[in-house]
Parts: sequence; C-alpha cells; structure tokens
Amino acid sequence: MIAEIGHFALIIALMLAVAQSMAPLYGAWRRNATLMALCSPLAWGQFLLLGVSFLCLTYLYVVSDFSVQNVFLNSHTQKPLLYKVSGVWGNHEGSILLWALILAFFGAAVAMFGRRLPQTFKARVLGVQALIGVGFLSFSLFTSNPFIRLNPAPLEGQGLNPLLQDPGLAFHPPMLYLGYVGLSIAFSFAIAALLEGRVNALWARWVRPWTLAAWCFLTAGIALGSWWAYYELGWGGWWFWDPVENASLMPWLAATALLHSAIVVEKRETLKSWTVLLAIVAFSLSLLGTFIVRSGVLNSVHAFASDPTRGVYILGFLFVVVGGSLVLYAVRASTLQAGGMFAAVSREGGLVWNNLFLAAATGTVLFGTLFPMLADAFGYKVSVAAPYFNAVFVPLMIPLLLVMAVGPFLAWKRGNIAALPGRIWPAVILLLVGLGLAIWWQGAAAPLEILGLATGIWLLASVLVELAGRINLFRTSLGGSMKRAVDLPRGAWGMSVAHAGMGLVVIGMAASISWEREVISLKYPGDSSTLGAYEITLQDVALKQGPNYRYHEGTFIVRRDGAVIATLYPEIRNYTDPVTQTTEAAIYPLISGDLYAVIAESGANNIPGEPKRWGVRLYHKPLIGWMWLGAFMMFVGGGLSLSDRRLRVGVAQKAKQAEASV
Amino acid sequence: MKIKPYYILPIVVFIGMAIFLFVGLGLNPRETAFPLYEQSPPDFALGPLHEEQPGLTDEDLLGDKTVILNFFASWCAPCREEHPYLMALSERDDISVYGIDYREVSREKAIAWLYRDGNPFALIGYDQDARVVMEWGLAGVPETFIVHNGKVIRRYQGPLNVPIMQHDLLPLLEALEK
Amino acid sequence: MKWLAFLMVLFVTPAFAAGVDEAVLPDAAQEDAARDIMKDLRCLVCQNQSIEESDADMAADLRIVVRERVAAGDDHQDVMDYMVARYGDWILMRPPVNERTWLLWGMPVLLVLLGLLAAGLLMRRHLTERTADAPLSADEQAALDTLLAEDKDQ
Repeated sequence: MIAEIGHFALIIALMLAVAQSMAPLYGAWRRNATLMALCSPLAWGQFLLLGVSFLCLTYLYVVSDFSVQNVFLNSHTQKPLLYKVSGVWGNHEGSILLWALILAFFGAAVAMFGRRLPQTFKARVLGVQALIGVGFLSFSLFTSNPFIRLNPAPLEGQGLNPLLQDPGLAFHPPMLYLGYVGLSIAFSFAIAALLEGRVNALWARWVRPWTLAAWCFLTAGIALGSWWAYYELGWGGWWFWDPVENASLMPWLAATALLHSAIVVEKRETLKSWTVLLAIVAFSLSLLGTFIVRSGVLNSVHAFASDPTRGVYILGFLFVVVGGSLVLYAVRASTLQAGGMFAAVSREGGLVWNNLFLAAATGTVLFGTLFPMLADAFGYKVSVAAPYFNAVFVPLMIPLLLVMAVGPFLAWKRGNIAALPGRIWPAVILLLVGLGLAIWWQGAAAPLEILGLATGIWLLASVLVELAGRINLFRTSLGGSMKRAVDLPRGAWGMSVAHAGMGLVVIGMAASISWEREVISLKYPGDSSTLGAYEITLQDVALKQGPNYRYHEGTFIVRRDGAVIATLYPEIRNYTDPVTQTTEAAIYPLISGDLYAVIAESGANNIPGEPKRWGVRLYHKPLIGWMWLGAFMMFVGGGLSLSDRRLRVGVAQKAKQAEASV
Repeated sequence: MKIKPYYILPIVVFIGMAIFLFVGLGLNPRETAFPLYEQSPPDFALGPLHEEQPGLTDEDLLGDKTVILNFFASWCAPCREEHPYLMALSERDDISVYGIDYREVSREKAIAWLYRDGNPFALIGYDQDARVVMEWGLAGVPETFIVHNGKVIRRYQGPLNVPIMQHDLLPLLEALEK
Repeated sequence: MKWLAFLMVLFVTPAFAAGVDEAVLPDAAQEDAARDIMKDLRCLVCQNQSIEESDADMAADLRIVVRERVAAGDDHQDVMDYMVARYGDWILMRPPVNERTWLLWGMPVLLVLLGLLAAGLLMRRHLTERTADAPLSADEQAALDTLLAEDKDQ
C-alpha cells in the first residue's frame, strides 16, 4: 500500500511538472496573469507530492519491505537504522528520486522567496525549473522506478554495499545533490533572462544567493567525499581524479567562476553574456556528471551499476536541455550589451583573471576526463589519471591563487598598482616568516612543493592583512578596530573567511604531500616501526563482532621519546551481506598532523601454527587537518555572505518601502 | 537579429561532445589495450597442469589449424559459466582448443574440476607466476584468443557468451575455414 | 550484466586494502625506485588505482616483475617500455606525450591563450565603444538604487 502511495504521488508529481512547464511559460509569453500565477501553487504541489513519495520509500526501507525490488536489492534487516535510511539514496533509483525531490524543493523555494521577482520572470524561472523536473521524473518513472514490487517477496534483502555503510558517505550524496541541483536555479534564471532578453545588475543580485547556496553545499559535499576517501579507502589519499570526483569538481569550478563574474555584472553591468553562459555551463556540468556516473561510459571506482538504456535517456535529456539552452544563448546573447568600463588593473580585472583560470581549469578537467573515451572512439586505449591532472591543474591554480591574494586590495574600476606594495608588504613578511617556520620545522622539500606551500601561505597572509586594513588594526585603538570589525558587512567577512579557508586548504595539501612519511611493511604482533619522531608498535590483532560484520582490530601503541602518546585501532571489516571486506583507517590527529594507520590481511607466507603477519601502512601527514578545516571555513564563508542582507532583494525592497513611508 | 560567431561556439562544442558521448555509450571502457593484435604470439614455454601430460609452448599455436587459446582458473566463476561453449568448440575438427591455467590454490582442484565437468583443452599450460599471462597482456581471467596462421587475430575479455558466439566467434571460424 | 560478474570475481582479494608485499628489495634505493615505478603503472583490474596501491592478485604479480626488473638493473624507462609493449599506453598512469595525445597535453595552454585573447578583446572593446543596455524600468532602477545606497553605507 505504502509503495503504491509513493508510486502514485510520483506520477501525479510528473503531471504537475508537465503543467508547470507549460502554463507559466505560455502565460509569460501571452502576458496572461492567471496562467503565470499557477507557477507557485504547482511548484509547491510538486514538492509536497515528491516529499510524500520520498517518505514512502524511506518508510519501506526502515521497515525492510522486501516486496519492493529496490529495497530487496539494496537493504538488509541487520543494517543499523541510519544506514537503512541512507540506503534510500545509496542506489541509482533512490538517488534519482532524491534528485527530483531536491529539484522540487528549490522550485518551491523560488516560489516562496521569489515573491518580489517580476511576474513574467518568476513564471519563466519556474517553468524552466519544471522542464528539468519533467526530465528527471519521467527518467525515474520510465527507466528507474524505485517502487516496483516483487512477487513473491523475498525474506531477506541483499544488503547495501558496505563501503557505503559510513556516516561520511551517508550525508555526502544529499549535500552534493543540494549543490548540483541548486545550480539548476542559476540555470533557470539564465534561461528566463535570455527569454526576457535582459540581464542587468538586478538579475545578478537575484542569481548570486542561489548560486552561493549551491556552491556551499557543493563545497561541503566534495569535502565530505574527500574526507570519506581519506579514512575509508585505506591508502591515505583524499583525491584521486576519478571521473566521478571530476564530475563534482567541474560544476564547483564553474559555480565558483559564476559567483565571481556575477559580481562584475552587478557592479559594472558588463560580462553579461559570459555570466549567463557560466550559469548554463555550471548546471550542464552537473547533468553531465549524472550521465558519467550512471551510464558507464567511463571507468570509475564508485559508479552506479550502469545500464545503457539509462545512458541513452540521460544523453537525450542532456542534448535537449543543454543543446536547447545553448541555441537560445547563440540567438539571444548578442542582445546583451556590455555596459561600464574598467581598467585591466582593478578589482574587476582580478575577477576576470579569476574567471579565465577557473574556466581553463574546468575545460581542462572536462577534456581530460572525457579523453579516454574520445581516444577509444579512434581506437586508442589510454588512461588519464592523477599524474596528468596534477601536472596540468596545479600550474593553472597557482596564477589564480596569486591574484586571488592581491585582488581584494585593488580598487573597483581602476586600481592603483603603485600603491599596492605600500598596502601588501606585511603579507610579504608574513609569507617569509611562515615559509621559514615551515621549513625549519619539517625540513626542505622539492621546489614545486615549496611553491605550492608558499602560494597557500601568501593567500592566507594577504587575507589577514587585507582584513586588518579594513578594520584599521594597529592604526586606531583596539576597541575601534573591534567596532569596525563588527560593522563590516557580512559579505566582506564571508569573502575573507572563504578565501582564508582556501589558503588553509592549499597549505594542508602542499604540506601533507611535501612532508608525508610512510612505512609499508609486514609485521608480527609485537613489531615496531619508526615514523619520523614516533615509534609505533603493533601490539595485538583481535577478532571482534560488529552489528552486521566481524572485524579484526589492530592495536598500535604510539610512543614519542619513550612515552605513550596515542593508541590507534584500525579495522578490517568482513561483511556477509553482500560478502565484502573493507578497511577502516585509524587516524590520530596531532597538532603537527595526522597519524594514520591501516592494517591488511596478508596471504603472504603465513605458516600454519605460527603467529600471523599483517600488512601495515603507517603515515604521518603534516597539517592535513588544515584541509578539512579550510573546506569548512569556505562553507561557513559562503553562509556568512548568504546571510548578508544586501543579498536579499526582498529585504532591500522592504527597506525602500520603509524609507518611503518615513 | 545579428548572431555573432563566438556566441555559436558553445553550441558547436557541445554538439561535438554529445556525438562523442553517444559513440562512447557503445564502447567498453573496461576493455584494455590489445597490442598483440595481428602480431605473432609471444614466446613462451609452460609446464603442464597435470604432471603426466605435455605442457604448452608458443610452437603449439603455430600449426595449420586455427587455435583457440583460453586463459582460465578453477576458482574463477565466469570461467565455469563459459565452460560449455569451450566444450562445444573442442568437438570441432577444424580448430584446436588450448588452455592456460592462471594460478591455482591447488592444482589437484583444477584437475578434479576438469575431470568432473569435462576437459575442452587438448593441451594445457600452467602459469603459476603470471609471466605468460603478462606476455599476453591479460587483465584477468577468463580471456580467449584466436590464433590463425601464426597471428593473434581476436581477443575476448571476460567469459564467452551467446552474443559473442553467435555474432562473432562462430561466423569468424566459418569465414576462416573458407 | 555479465561483465559485472566478471569484475566481481576479479575482486576476490580486497580491492581497497593497501598492497603490502612480502618480498621487498634488499637495497633501499632500488626499493624506492621500484615503488616510484609502481605508482606510475595502472592496476589492470581495479579502476583508477596504481599497482602500488592495489591488493589485487594481478597487481601483486606486476609488482614482482617490476622489482625483478629493477633488481636486474633496468631503469624507470626500461620497465615502462616493457609494460607498454604488453599492455599498451593504457597501463601508464601518466599518458605519454605523442602525436595522439598532443591535444590532451596542449588543452590547458590552448584554453588559457583563448581566455587571454577573449579578455584582451573585452578590454579593447571597452576602450572603443560605450554602449549601454536597454534602460532599467522605473521599478528596477528604484530597487537598484536602494541596493547601491546600502552598499555605500558600509
């Protein structure tokens, strides 16, 4: 019964989406206010129905109703409750339903917060939003229906891939989808603007908060995924340039570019056609990511089981949505006239520089990701993996980061390059001190690694100096500075916090790569290894029972100068449904960086009756925690900017009314 | 309305990409490169699986008959899945079916399996340390090669199945016979 | 779905556990060299993993061969050549630079040059024309004015 309610709600939601994609768009064209007014109730209706549908599926998972095929294939009665719930989106069908739900959520959000948008514009935005919804809902119903029944119902489910049984991964997909789908709003705004034939500062103001929200979620989603890979996959890496990871990185790069170019539209009424293109491209890359993950065209560790019909469907959908919008763009973009001017050396110039390198990086990652397929089409088998991406991506990021540090010091419209040294010299001193300290602490490293580290420190230092300048630190009383700090707009704080976060991320990456120490060996219980200043002993390995798995737990005692400072417990888990082995790294965060331990079963030359030897990987990764902290700061920075009242157009209008009534 | 050429660029790039994505749907990214194609088989000499039988060398592949060379292991489930096809092929007179066994936990197990389910291989070489497997550029078991007139002309990665047999392997053998 | 079953069998050993070997080379410098080589060779049965990180059987076999070659005095390039002869360029984690990959390696440079060209044109156009967009409607202008006034406040 519950499954049928969910199924029925899904069908009605599709019908509402069809209505929503036609009535308001036609109404906006014909200037029919009644039809246009339909968009909000339809958007709400769609959201509520999909909410019902999603709750039904969740309920089916929680009660383990194996008469539903999707639950049977992806769940198990022995699973902890959290993972029964996260199992809903841990599979293809459920994740598409979640995607559709989030799409409808953003539609409803526009219906609610967009009361101040011009009527035709809002109708068009929601109409375009519904068109995307039609695509996803029919995809779900016709190729990936999660509510299909099985008869007779099996007694036990097949279980979720145990790699996904993890808190980090439970929340990673919803975050990522909020980001991917959030970009659909920027896309709908861009299409509506092209239909209206007008892009102006006000449009940029409307688009920015939605993009910013999507960007925050995308940042959090990527960081969670990377963190999961770090502690779960078991060889201490956190980014593998896997096609699926690239699929999330590309929209992030494009959204970052969009956030910054929208500022130029807002301030200077220029870069309009470029910004509209970025909005289209950012969401198109999200759709492309879906295609890559679900069609099996590219090799990936964490792709869903792929199915060519789904691939054909998504490609067709991609072709209609992206192709259609780019045709519209080709026809309409030339009507968007450029407005104000600015000098090459100016804040706007810095933002153009930012866009240039972000766009080049996006294009490079896209081309590199698709290249194996392209080459294969010409009969050449080649792998494009991490070494390629590291080699091309880092040189693109360094000029970006260097200017990112200087940009905020430049004035709008016309920057004074001669005055720059006078403002930025404290950052140079901070850079030299920071770099000196790092090398004194950890020793020399390869020149490129030092360059990466220097870039990160430079960015962080310049953010601090810029912020100090803004609040007149050391030039007025401390109280005066505090007051200025409090009075600083949230948007300014947001920028500084997010930029500083980026600096921390870069420092964490560079330091953990430059000064990583590792020991890889086979050990008997009782054996010790030396890792830098630490002596690490494998004390014991015991077999234990978890909720739905058995596991070997290693006990590592960490000593420094003879004193015990930590104990690490890495695990090898053996799940039975389905039979899978996973590793759980043990991580002990020190101020200097993480101690990271993994054990592995080694089949190698174990003589029966003698003590068993274990494969052991130990790492010391200096400052790697700064990466996660930095990513968190970027998320918080985005949130701070979002809370800036200047971004809320509605508030501004209320303020205007208040002024008028005074 | 005037359309500037650089505004058309995005749609042109996209259409090009979409065409390749469509082509990509028909390709198998898991398939590895095949440098042996149209080349002579690599030199190798393997001992037998069963002590009383002969082993397998590259010389054996260079006879007059077309050779089907199958890499297998008794622990590999897809190998069992494709086993009936190899049995059927072994009954033909126009071809020789040879096997290379890639690493067993116990050789007795492999011999017992072939005894029980039938042995399609006229000759079997046993490759414990994967050296010959590597010479042939294998990504795993099972893989099947066809050697004709001293050249490697086909490779199937993964188990043989109905589509491969009907649409490729059998028509190919028929064509070679003429 | 058959190929999926094929892959599952290939994953009989834990694909995500770290590859730790019994027989490392006695000479530490050689072992380091061998490890560097392993990091540049792609695991055949796993996706996007080097043989250095993988615990698959085939990866372990390849590691043995790499160590053997290094011990016999082969350098990085010799081992790569040996592997490419058997597995093609596919086995390299870093694609080679050749006539089939120049576009891949050239793409970042090409994109940056294109971007610089576009930015240059933009700056030049700004110096030559001064065109304004269709004027804002009265409502929009008012809304914008409020926003800009707020900006000035801070």
